[in-house]
Amino acid sequence: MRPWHERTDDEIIDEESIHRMWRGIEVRRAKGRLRRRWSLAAPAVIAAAAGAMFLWSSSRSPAAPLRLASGVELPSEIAARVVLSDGSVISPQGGTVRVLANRADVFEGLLSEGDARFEVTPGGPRRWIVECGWVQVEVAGTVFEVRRRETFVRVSVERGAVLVRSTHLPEGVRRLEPGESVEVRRPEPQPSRPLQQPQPEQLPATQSSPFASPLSGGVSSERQQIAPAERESFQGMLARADRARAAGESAVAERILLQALARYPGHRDRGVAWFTVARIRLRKGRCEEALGAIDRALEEGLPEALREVARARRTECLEGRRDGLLPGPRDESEPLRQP
Amino acid sequence: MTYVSVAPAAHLRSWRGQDDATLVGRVLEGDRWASEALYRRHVRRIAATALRMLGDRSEAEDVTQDAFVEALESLEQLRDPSKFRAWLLRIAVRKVQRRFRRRKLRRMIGLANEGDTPLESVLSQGTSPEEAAELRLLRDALERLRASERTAWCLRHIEGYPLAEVASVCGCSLATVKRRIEAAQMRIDRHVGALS
Repeated sequence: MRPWHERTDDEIIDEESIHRMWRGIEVRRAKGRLRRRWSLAAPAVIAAAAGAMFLWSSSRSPAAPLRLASGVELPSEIAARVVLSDGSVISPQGGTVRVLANRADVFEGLLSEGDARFEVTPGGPRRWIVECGWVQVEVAGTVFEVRRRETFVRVSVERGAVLVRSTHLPEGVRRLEPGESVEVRRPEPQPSRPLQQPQPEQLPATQSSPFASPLSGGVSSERQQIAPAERESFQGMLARADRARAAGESAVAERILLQALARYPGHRDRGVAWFTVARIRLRKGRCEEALGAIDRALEEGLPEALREVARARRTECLEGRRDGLLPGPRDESEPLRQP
Repeated sequence: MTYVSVAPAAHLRSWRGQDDATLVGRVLEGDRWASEALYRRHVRRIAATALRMLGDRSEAEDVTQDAFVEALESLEQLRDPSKFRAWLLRIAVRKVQRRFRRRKLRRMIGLANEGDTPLESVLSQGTSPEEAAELRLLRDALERLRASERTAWCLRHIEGYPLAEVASVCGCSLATVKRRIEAAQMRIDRHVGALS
């Protein structure tokens, strides 16, 4: 047989090679057609996949706060109808909804005045809370309306269910089902009774606390209550303050509470005591001072149920201060020092 | 993946009397059998050329398949369908040149030994040891050539193409082809002379 370079084409390439190469050509051409089709369709497929992933992640990601449906950051004050990134809709009418908190786990809005309709997409990762001064509405997946007027707040549920919290409701809370509504009237501010200036000689010897001397009550019954036992416990002082409050002697009650707080700096119930102080001050219309006490209560720690109420009261205070409905610190005759 | 079986020769018999231009026209109209007819008409020449230039059967078959795929897929770019054969050969030679360059690069970065073409794959059983030694010397000399020089030299001296056709296939002028072939010959002579 001749060397390869001297052989003819027919001798070098046999029929089997020809068959094999043709099969390979057919396969390569088929692959090429597939690749060309894919390269034409790929941009559209990739864009669609990216869009789907964006929508999925924006609706499911627990770390993302709510944004507008357009992707723009949520404004701090909502004055017109907005659609949010999770599909929920807020429609204020004649008022605004101020965004108090917009986090992964909670959305909290304050309806200062007017009406607002909320359509909350169910199944979301966050709690929805609508603050209305003396009323708080908690919701998970529902459609409801809140109407706020000078003297009342009305909550009506169209779909789903909400919890309406207010200290002016029986048991402090009410669940509303579709078709139900509740109207909570604004509490009448209690006229504060002017306190009599105490006589220094009337104060007991144990009143060496900085809270005691300028705040001492003016009646003898108070003096009895103010004078604590030598080794009175924190709980005992709280109970005594409660009794004073029940007897209408709120100033005395406040003083006892402040004494207890000064005497027991590490007690676990200090938050409750601070919150009681705040409620007393609120009832007297001392909004600014009440705010400070609420903040201390939240800092010191409160049980879950009380914490929600404390936040609601805090909002109420802030709103009252803004609208001028609640007076600020009353006057110099009733100073309160905080430890 | 569906493998398409090769059509029996009987199916192609009717195309035997058709020239390349007609077959190209039919391929462009979507006639699958015309593609195969073109393939069968030219595959031996293309594959044998590739084999003789590359000296490696599997590489030669690879180049042949690549050349036909490219030609059939870009057939609409062929301005003169009657020149299908030259056009196809040009595609194949370009691919062979690319293989040359790749081999050289592999040698430069140490991925292949010099003259790694399996010579045994192209030697016939009756080749004498002296002939085998000469072929090995020639192969080593060819491996040292530039791709363009080697292609021109192989097409001229191994395939026996006229100079004009070599120029056409290589896509350069006649003078350039002559210069490349001359340069290649000088290097081969120098290499063979030095070793012998």
